[in-house]
Amino acid sequence: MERSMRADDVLVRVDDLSVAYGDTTVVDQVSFEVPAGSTTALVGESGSGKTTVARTLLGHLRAGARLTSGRVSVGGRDVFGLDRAGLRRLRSTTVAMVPQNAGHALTPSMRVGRQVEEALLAAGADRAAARERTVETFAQVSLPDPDRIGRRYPHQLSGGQQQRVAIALAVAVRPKVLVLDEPTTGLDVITQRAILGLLRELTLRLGTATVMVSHDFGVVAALADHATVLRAGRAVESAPAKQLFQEPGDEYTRELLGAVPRIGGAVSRNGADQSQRGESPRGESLLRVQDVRIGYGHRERDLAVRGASFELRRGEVVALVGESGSGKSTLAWSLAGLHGPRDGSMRYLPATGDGDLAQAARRRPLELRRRIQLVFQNADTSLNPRRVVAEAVRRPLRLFRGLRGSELAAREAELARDVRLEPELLRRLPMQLSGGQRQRVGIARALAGSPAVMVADEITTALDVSVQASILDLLEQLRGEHDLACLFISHDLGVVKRIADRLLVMHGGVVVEEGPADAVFDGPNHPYTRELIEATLEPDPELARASVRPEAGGDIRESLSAGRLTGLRHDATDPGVGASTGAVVWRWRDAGPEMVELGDGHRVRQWELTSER
Amino acid sequence: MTGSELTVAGTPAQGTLRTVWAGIRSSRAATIGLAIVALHVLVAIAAPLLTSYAPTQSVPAEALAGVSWDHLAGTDQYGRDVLTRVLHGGRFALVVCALSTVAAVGLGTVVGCFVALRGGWADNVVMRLVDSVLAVPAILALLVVVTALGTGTWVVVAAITIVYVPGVVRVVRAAAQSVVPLEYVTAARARGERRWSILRRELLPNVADVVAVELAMRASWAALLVSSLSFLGFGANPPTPDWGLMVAENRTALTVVPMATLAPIVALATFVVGLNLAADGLAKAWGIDRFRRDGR
Amino acid sequence: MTLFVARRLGAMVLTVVLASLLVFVALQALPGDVATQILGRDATPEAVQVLRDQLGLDQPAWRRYLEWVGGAIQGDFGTSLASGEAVGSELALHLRNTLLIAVLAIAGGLLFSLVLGVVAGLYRDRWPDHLISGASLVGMSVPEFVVATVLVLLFSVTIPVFPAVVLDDADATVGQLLPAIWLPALALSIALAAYVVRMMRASVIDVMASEYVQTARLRGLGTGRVVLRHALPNAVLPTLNVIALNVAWLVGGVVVVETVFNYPGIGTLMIDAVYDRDLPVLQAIAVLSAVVYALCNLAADVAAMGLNPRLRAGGRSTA
Repeated sequence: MERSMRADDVLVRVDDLSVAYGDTTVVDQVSFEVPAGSTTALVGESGSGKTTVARTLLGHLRAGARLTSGRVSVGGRDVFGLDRAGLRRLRSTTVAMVPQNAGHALTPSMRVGRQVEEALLAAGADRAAARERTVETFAQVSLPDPDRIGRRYPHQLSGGQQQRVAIALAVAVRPKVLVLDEPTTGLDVITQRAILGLLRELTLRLGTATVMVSHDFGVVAALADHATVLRAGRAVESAPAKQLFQEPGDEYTRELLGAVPRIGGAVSRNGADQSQRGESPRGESLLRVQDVRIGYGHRERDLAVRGASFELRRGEVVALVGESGSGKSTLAWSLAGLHGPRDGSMRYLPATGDGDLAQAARRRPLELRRRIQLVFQNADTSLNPRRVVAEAVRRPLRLFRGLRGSELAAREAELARDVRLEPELLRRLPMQLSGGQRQRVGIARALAGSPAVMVADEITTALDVSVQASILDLLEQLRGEHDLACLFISHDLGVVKRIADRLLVMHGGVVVEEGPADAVFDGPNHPYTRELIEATLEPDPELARASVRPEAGGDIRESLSAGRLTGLRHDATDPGVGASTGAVVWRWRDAGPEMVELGDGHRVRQWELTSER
Repeated sequence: MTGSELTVAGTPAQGTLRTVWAGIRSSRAATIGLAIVALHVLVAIAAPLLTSYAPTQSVPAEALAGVSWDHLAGTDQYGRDVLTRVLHGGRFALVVCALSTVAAVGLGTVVGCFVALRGGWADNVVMRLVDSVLAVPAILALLVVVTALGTGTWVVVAAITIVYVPGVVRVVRAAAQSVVPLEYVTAARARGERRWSILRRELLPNVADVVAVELAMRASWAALLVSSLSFLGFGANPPTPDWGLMVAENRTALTVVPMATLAPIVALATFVVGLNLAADGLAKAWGIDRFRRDGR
Repeated sequence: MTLFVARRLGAMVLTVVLASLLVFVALQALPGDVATQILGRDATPEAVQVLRDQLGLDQPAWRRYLEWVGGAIQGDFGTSLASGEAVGSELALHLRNTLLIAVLAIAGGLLFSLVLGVVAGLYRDRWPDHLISGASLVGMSVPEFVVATVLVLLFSVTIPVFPAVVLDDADATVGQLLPAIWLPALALSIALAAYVVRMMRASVIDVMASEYVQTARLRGLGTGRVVLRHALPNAVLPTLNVIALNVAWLVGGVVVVETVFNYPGIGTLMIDAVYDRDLPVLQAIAVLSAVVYALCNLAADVAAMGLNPRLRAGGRSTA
C-alpha cells in the first residue's frame, strides 16, 4: 500500500471527454487532471453533466450513453480500454465512489459490516484481515462503537451514520482515487459540516486524488483545491478554488456565484430595501399563533410541534428556520388547515368572523380560506401532471372569486404577468415547463385567491441557485405589490438572511429563538442558532474550510463566557465547575418554556448545560 | 435542464380519456392486442353471416365427423358443425365478461379512490371487507353464489362483479394512495374542495392509466373465469354454443375428433392473449408494474 | 416482532371470520326458503319440513351461524346432506388427496418459476426474456381446464404415460393414487408459474436498477455476488405477498383441474356439493379456502421477516 507520493503525481487524467445520450451531447470535450493529494470539484447546475463526467472515472456510463471522444485514465490505465475483469479490478482497488444518498446506496438486507468486508475481500484481502480492517475503518470515519456497529443494518443508522458507512466502504480499500458524488446533499447542515470535515481530513491523510461533484458552492469551497465549472456539458472555467471564488473569470461563474445567498459580509442585493425594511413601521397584526401543539398521534412523544407562539404582521416576511423534523412544516400545514392542532389557538385577526384557523380548510368560511394560501416545496408534484397549468390558476379563481368567461381569462393572464410568466405558457402541461416556471405557476395559484398571508414551504429548496435567486426576487417584488405577509419556511440560512424581516428558529418542536433577522444573525444567540449559523457554508474557501475544521464551533462554555450566547437558565448552576475537562463534551438541553427577552422582540428560549462523555 | 425535461419519455396527455388513447397508440403490443379483441367481437356479432350452419342444428348422421371441406373443424357428438359453434361460442363469454368487468372496475375505482382519499376508519373497514372477499378464490365464490341463486346470465354477471370489485379496490387504492400525498392534491384540500371534486379532477386522471390496465387485465381473468364456469357446467346452458362448454362436451371424444376440442381452445386462448397483450402493452407504455401488486 | 406476529394473527382470524360470515349469508340468509331451494319447487311439504328441522331453519340466522361456528371450532362441520356422513371426516379424506397434488404443484411451480423469473429479469429484453415472457403470457391466457386437457392430449393420448382420468375413490391409498397425481400437479403448477414468473421478472428488473445494486457494481463486485447477495433477497421481498395470494388461489384451480381428471379431492367434492346443493359441505370448503388464504399470507409475512431486517425490529427505523 505504501507508495511514493509526489505532488505532481497525476492520478486522474480526463482528456477531451465527450459523451452522448442518443443524439444529444451531454458532455462536450471536457478535460482536467487531478494529482495525488488534491481535490478537484466539478460544479454546475442540474443537467450540466457533472455526474456523468465523474462516473466515467469508474468506467460507468448510464444505459444508452456512449463515449464519443476522448479518454479517461485513472492511475495510468485507460478506463474505457479495460476488459471486464480489468474494470472490476480497477473499481475494487484503485477508484472508489461515495454516492449521493447513502440511504439508497447501501443494500438494505445486509449488515453494514458485511458490506465493507465484502469490498475488502473483492480487493484481495483475506477474511481475518478484512474483518480487522473493517473495524479500523469504522473507527477512522468516527462511527460510534466501531467494534459492534458493523452488526447493524442500514436502516438502524441515522442519515449521518449511513453516510459515514458509505465513506468507510469507499476508503476501506485505500483507493488512490476517490469520487464524491454530492456527498452531503440531503443532510442537515450540522451533519453536513461533520461529514465534510471528515472527508477533508481523510483525503488529506490518505493522499487520494479526489474528484467531487456538487451544485453547492459552499461545499466546493470547503473541500476543493481546484474547481471546474460545467454548463450544459462544457467546462466554462477551470481554476484553483481560491481564484475561482475571488475573481471568477467567466461570466457564467460570476452569475452563479452572485446568485448564492450568503450570511455574512456581503449585503443582500437589494441593499436599499434592507435598510428600509429595518425601519419601516410594522403593519397591523394578521396572524396570531399561541401555544400551539400539533401531533400525529395521541401520545406526548407524537407531538411534532410542542408549543409555538408568534405573530405575523402585514407586509412582513417571517422565516421559520430549522432542520428536518423540527416541526416547521407541520406548523405551516396546520395554518393552511391541513392538519388541526391539538391545542392552543391560531387566529386570522382581520377576519369578520372569529377567524379561527384551528379548523380544517373545508370548515373555514370561503373568505378566510382564500386569505391564507400555501406554496409548495416541490414544483414537480405541486401541479397536476394531466392538466394544463392554466387549470391550476383557474380553479381558485372560480372557487374564491366566482369568475367566469372573459373575466376569468383576463384575470388569469394578469396573474401570469404578476409572476413574470408568459401567458402562453399557461396552455402547457407541467412537464413542458422548467422547474422555475412551475414554481411561478405555484405562486400564481396561491395569489389567485388574493391572499393576505402566503405560507411558503421550502419553495426554493429543489431549485438551482440561479433559479432560486429569481424566485426570491419575485417574492420580494410581490410582497410590495400585493402587501403580502409571508411565512417563509426554510432550512437554508443564506436564503433566509436574504429575504426575512424576522426569524423564528425551531428545534424539536419548539421555537428556541425569535427576533429581527439582523439581531438574530448578529446578536447573542441560543446555542442551537449559533450552531446552525456556524455550520452554514459560505462560498468562500477560507471561511468554509474554517467552518468544517474539526475543532470549529468550539466549546459551548467558551462561547458562553465570551458572551456569545444567552438564555442559560439563571438559576442553573454550571455543572462543569470543578469537573475535569478532558474528554467531556458540553451540550445544551432545553430548559422549559420561558423565553429571555432581549428587547425589540428578540427572545431566546431557556436552556441549560449538560455534560457528555 | 429545460431541454432534457421536454424530451422525457411519455409526456402525459391531458385528461382521462386522452391519457388512455395516447397509451394505446404508443404501444404496439397494446394495438395488436386490442385488434385481436376487436376481431373477436366482430366475429361474435357477425357469426350468423359467416357460416351456413345453425349453431344448434344437430345432424346425428354426421356426428363426430373429422375435418372436411364441409366441416372445417369437424362435427361434435350431435353432428353440430364445430366451426359454426366456435364462431358463435364467444357471445356468452364476451357479454358476461364485458358487463362484469366494466361494472367491477367502475365500482372498484370509485371505492378505491374514495377510501384512499378518506383514509381513517372507512379505509380500515373497507379493506377488511376486501380482504375477506379475496380470501375465497373467485371460482369458489362463484360456485357458492350459483348454488344459492342459480345459473342465469345476470346472476353470473352480478357474481363476477361482486367477486372482482375487492381486487380492483385494492389495486386502485394503492395507486391513488401514491397520488393523495402529492402537493397538487394537498393544494386542492387546502382550497377546501369537496372530496368528490378532488376525486374527479385530481385523482381520477392520474390513476386512469392504472385503471385502464386493470380493465384489460380483469377482462382477461373474467373470460377465463366464465369459461371455467361453463366448463364445470354452471355457466352457459346447453345447447348454447360456448367455448368452455364445448371443451367440456367434446373432450370425451378427444381421441376421435381432437379438432372439436382444440378449436374452441384456440379461440378462447387468442381472445385472452389479446386482452393480456393489451394490458401488458399499456402497462409498459405507462411504466406501471403489472405484476408487482396484489389483488386478482 | 411478537407484536407484529400477534397483529397479523389477529387480522388473519378476523379475515376468516368475516369470510365465513359472507359465505354463510350468501348461502343461507338470502331471500327465499333454503329448504325449498334445495329440494326444488315440487317437493312435498313434509320433506321440506324434515329438511328444515335438519338444518335448524326455524331458528334465526344469527343463531344458526353462531352454532355453526361453535361446531366448526371443535371440528364439527355438520352432516353432509348428500351422503349423510360427517362433513369433517369427508373433508379430511379429500383434503389429503388434494394436498398430494397441491404440495407437488406448489413446490415444483415455485422453484421453476422463481428461477425462470430471475433469468428473464437478468436478461431483460434479450432472447431468454422474450422466450420466457412469451411462454408466461400464453400460460396466463389459458384457463386451467385447457392446460389440463392439452396435457391429457399429450401425455395420455399421444404418448400414453399417465392416466387421463382417475378411477379410484377418495379413500384410495396414497400408493394407489400415486400414478394419477402427476398430470394434475403439472397443470396446477403451470397456472401458478405463469404469474410468479412475471412478478419475479418485474421485481428483479426493479432491484437491478436500484441505487444499491448499481453502487455494488461500481465497487467492483462480481456479477454473481451482486445478484445473489445484493439483488435477490430484496427482489423476492415485494413478490412474497403476491406469491402467497396466487398459492392461496390455487384452491380455485384445484376445483377445475380435479374435475378434468376426476381426481377425488376437495375440488370434485365441491362440484358434487354444488350439484347436490349440499350446503354444509360447501360452507366448510369455502371456509377452508379462507383459512388457506390466511395461512399463505402469514407464511409470506414470516418469510418477509426473514428477508427484511426492518421487520425483524430491534432497531429504530429512520424516516
